[in-house]
Amino acid sequence: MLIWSRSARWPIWALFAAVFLVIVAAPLAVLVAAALATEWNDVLPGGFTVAHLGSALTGENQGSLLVSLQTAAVAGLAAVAVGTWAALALAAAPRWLRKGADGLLHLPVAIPSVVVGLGLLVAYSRPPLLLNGTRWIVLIAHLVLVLSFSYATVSSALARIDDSYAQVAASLGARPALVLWRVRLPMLLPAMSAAAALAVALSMGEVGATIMVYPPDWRTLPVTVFTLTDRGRTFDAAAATLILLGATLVALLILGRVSRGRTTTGVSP
Amino acid sequence: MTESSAVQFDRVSVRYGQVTALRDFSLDVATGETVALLGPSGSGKSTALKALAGFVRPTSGRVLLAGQDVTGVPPHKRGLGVVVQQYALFPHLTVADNIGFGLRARRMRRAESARRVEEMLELVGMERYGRRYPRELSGGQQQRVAIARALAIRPPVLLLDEPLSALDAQLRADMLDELRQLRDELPDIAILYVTHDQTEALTLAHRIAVMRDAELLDLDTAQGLYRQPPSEFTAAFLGGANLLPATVRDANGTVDVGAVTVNAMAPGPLVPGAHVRLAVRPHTIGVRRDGSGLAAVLTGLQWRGANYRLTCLIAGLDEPGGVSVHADVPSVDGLPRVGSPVRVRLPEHGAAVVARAGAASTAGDAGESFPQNLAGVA
Repeated sequence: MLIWSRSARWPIWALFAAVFLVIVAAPLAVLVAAALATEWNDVLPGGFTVAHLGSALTGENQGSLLVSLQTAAVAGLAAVAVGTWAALALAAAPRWLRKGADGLLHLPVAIPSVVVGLGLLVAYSRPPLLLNGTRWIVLIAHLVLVLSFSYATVSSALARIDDSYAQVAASLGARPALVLWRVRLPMLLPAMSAAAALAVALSMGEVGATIMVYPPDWRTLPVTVFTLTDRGRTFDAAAATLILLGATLVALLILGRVSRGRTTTGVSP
Repeated sequence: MTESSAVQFDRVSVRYGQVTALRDFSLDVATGETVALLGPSGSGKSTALKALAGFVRPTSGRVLLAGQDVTGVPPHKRGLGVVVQQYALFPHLTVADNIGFGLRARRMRRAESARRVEEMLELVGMERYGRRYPRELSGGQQQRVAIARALAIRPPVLLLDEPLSALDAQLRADMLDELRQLRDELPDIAILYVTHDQTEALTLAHRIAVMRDAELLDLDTAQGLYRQPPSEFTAAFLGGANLLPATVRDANGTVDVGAVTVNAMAPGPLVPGAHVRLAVRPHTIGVRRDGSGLAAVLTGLQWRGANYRLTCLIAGLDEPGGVSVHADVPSVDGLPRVGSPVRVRLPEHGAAVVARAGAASTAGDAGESFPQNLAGVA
């Protein structure tokens, strides 16, 4: 804490609490309340029910949840693989190429996701690249959007790792492939799992590009939430959002557990 | 360039774009010999080591190992032991796995590799630490592991890049002793030791290569360079010698410094009447309140525990503003005050005539012969 005077701390904490309540806590509380409400015509919701949650976990909504989880898993894995590959390759590339590719890889962050969706729609609607109407276009959209973040995470970690590790490994007789497998990748593992967590979290919440490209049989949960809200089924939407939130948290916890397990025991040689 | 050279640099230059990191560097290291590359940062010493290890590719020149040209050979095929400044122990591997890394890379059988790892742990006194991770070790222990890892592959050449610079002063002195012991236990290995610390170089090296501005400036045995520094730079860098303007009185090394005559060591016959520099070590200079010696003013006094470092400004000596010299004198009572006049006494023996101004322009033939165009040497 930078502020040492006791009297000054209270107003700061009060201000923080107020901002936190309005921006984070209140919407979340309302969401939970709405997900569990039978009706909401007054200041507080009317009755209590788990029916909305039940319907969010069955039928079409359950399908959406599974689609979201699969999309996040595939896009996250692919993003970490491609992002790590790009980071490793560009670290050894000439300066101009690195600068150019770096800008290109960061581009999806700068442009709205709807634009990415539209771009994919235009690009993949004609043979031979006819992906429109398939689940692949959704996966590609998610990969494009989360790749920037996984690349940035891994490449910044790579920049902090001294070249001497790889050099010493090579001097000990390790071929480049062995240096990559036994030294560089294990040392990047914490960054790679952080990148995976970020990619999964972003993918689970993605709606802008998905809504432009999704086929009927591959509708992600955020899109379902959007449609439910659009149809006025606010309570069902709130319940589905709660499920989305829970599923994302569980996915991140599992990822965190996996990466912690790997780093404390060390990578077996 | 003898056949027994374990390492040979043959006019090696390394350029990064416009910057020349190493220029025309030639050096031989024999098997069993330890050569220190000594110089300030940016002098090219680490670049020379990297060129030998294969981490950078020379722009021109050749690198030879045991007579074989390895200039284009990748690092993993050179078989050298390398210890870098921050050790670069693999953080995700145990101490034993770090040491065994090179053995596994060479596909050595498990049992044999385990035996070699044990042997190495014993060599560096780390038997009980095999299952630890690098982060659980102190700086000195990490250094030992790094050395054990480099030696595990039984390299013919060991490269050490400022291996003690990350340690505190006390530990550095202890590790220096250990390194010297280790050096004596490894008679078949050529060692190239990069450092900016003159004590490390003097303690460990059979020969010292003094580097400056990307070039080899002087090369000689440690004692030779210390006693008879060939250049002003080496005289000052190795042992912090004072450089006093002197005039040659006779060819055998008798020189005049102001009104004082000194019998100095000379690199060769001197030309009487020539102007040269006299290298005088601070601990050989005496400072008195009165008596004989060069007239000076005490301008600084520093207590250094075992001794005092006095700074005296000697007036005259053909230098505008006078010449400032350092003298290390034992802690005795009755030291003069700063600002008071003193007499500076030069040693009757042990000072050395420095022939060369130490400019980088003469570095190419450093250590082989003295340039002919010198003012002082005939």
